Amino acid sequence: MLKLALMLDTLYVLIAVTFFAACWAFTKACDRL
Amino acid sequence: MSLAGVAQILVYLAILIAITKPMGLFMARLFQGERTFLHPVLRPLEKLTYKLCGVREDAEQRWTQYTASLLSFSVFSFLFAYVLQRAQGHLPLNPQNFGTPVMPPDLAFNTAVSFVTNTNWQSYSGESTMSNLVQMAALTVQNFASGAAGVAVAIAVVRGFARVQFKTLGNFWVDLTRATLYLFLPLSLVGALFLCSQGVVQNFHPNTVAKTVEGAAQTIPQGPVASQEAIKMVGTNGGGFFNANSSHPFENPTPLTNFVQMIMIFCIPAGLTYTFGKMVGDTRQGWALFGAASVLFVAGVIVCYAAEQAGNPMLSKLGVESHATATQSGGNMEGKEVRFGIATSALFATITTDASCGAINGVHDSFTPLGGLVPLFNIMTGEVIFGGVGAGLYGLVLYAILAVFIAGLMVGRTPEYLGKKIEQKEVKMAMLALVATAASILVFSAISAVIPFAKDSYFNPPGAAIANLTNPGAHGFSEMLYAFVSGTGNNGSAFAGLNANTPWYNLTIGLAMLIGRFLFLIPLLAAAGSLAAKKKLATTSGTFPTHGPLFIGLLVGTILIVGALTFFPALSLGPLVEHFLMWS
Repeated sequence: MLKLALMLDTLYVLIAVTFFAACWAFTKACDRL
Repeated sequence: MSLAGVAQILVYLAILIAITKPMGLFMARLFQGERTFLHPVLRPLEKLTYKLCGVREDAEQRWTQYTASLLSFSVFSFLFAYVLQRAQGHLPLNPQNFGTPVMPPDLAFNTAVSFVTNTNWQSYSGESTMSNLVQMAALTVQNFASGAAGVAVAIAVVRGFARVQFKTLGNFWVDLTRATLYLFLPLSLVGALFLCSQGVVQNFHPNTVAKTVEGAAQTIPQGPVASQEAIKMVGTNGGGFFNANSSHPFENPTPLTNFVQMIMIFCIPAGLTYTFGKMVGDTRQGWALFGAASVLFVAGVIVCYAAEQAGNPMLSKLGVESHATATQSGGNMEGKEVRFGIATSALFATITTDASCGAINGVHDSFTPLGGLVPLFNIMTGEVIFGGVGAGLYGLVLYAILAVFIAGLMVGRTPEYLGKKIEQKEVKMAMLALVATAASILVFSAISAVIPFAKDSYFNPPGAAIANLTNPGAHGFSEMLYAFVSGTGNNGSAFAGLNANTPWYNLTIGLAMLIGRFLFLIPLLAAAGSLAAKKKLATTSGTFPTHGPLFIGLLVGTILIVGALTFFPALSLGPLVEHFLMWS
């Protein structure tokens, strides 16, 4: 149960962090436009 | 509509006009680095903050650096809020002993995103889920921080127009600190003390159990409500301490607190229109934005109030008195507080969705179809009708760019706004912001309307995503559409009727909130960076004036047409068809 909770925690944190990383890539792309 | 109801709306508008200039002037001085009346008290604290955080006050940032600072601040805010929620069972200030099971990962993700993006969508019920520590250290802190981040971005966008041949837009950390210290803290302090004086609770007591007249046990929640309530309004956050939000008597006990809360929502967004005019060197430009927002605001209130006062014809056919009399309000009172009545419920619903506040004092799900369409459409405009703190202003500026672009196309002249040529880059950025947010709303709503899940599946235990709706048909579609509109618009109010606390909705609404916040403001900052670097053109006889009624009309038309063209099909499937069914 604890293992599943930790996996889900990792998943949701990863989703958010990936989004913010994508935002930075989007920022760089907007700068080049 | 009653005379008293109309009078309350007019008094509200008069007070709003009266506070716009002083608020705007104060913010203009603050963000231009001039001394204000709060400096003798707060300047040492500001300097200490820079010293502790290693911020160089005079270090200017390019738009990309400004955005990077905002993004890094948001990542750490998210992680902090997430961890605090998941660990609340092991932390102090938890008199109700809320553990980790009441805050699963998907809900913690949704809530952390919600408060970092200034949305305050609440899939949880505050009084039965969150410890006092989480309410204060995660949620209330984010109410300040996310609001201040929004104001900082708006000020950076204004600098884009105000500066000539500059490579920089200011310093995010300095703007963030000033917005928090000089703007939100004093307003929240005064607001919280006022709310306490009116009966809003502020304590750390565990829930009180009372015995009712019938002998049943009733649990009365307690907590630090007033402090969260004040910043919830001033920061246009909207996340209530209680699930019932501002319809709860501990959050909004009197008609006076109701009125003051509505003023608190608009005071900064309205003031920022004046700040805009002041910083670009022509206050008429700010009043033009104020005028456009006011036209749309008044139109929304009138439609919403009239629809709610007209009531439900199906009930009238059954012999229910729907006209206002000396002893009852008539109209549609379902889901409304009797102490607030129809006028201030309609006014509150319009204000909270014009701004990105999302606090509610009545249930929007119980509004008539047209009455409910007004909040829905207000958010669909991108919340530019005064809008959220900062977010409203940069949204309005986006539409102003589009308006002058359309005007330029009509007369065959390169568009200009405030002496800056609006060229390819600015229009591309404005369109990117609009397309990203519209796509988020429509795509997530469409997928949720059709996606099947097995019963008891992880993502949606009730089964298909539409199994979470309380109502079938057009009204059910409105409930689902509203959730994604509210999430993407960073509003946070719920139509209710949708059980959104499942991993599917927590994830998709969470993503909608992120898209609505960051994919809207990044292109705007890019446009501001480009504008700041440009020369200022001299005004000639061919320059389109952007401070008069013609521009206000064009701006209002652009907002309405873009909103209507994008969302009319979705609105037709929801509130519009429901309206015709009700009257058929």
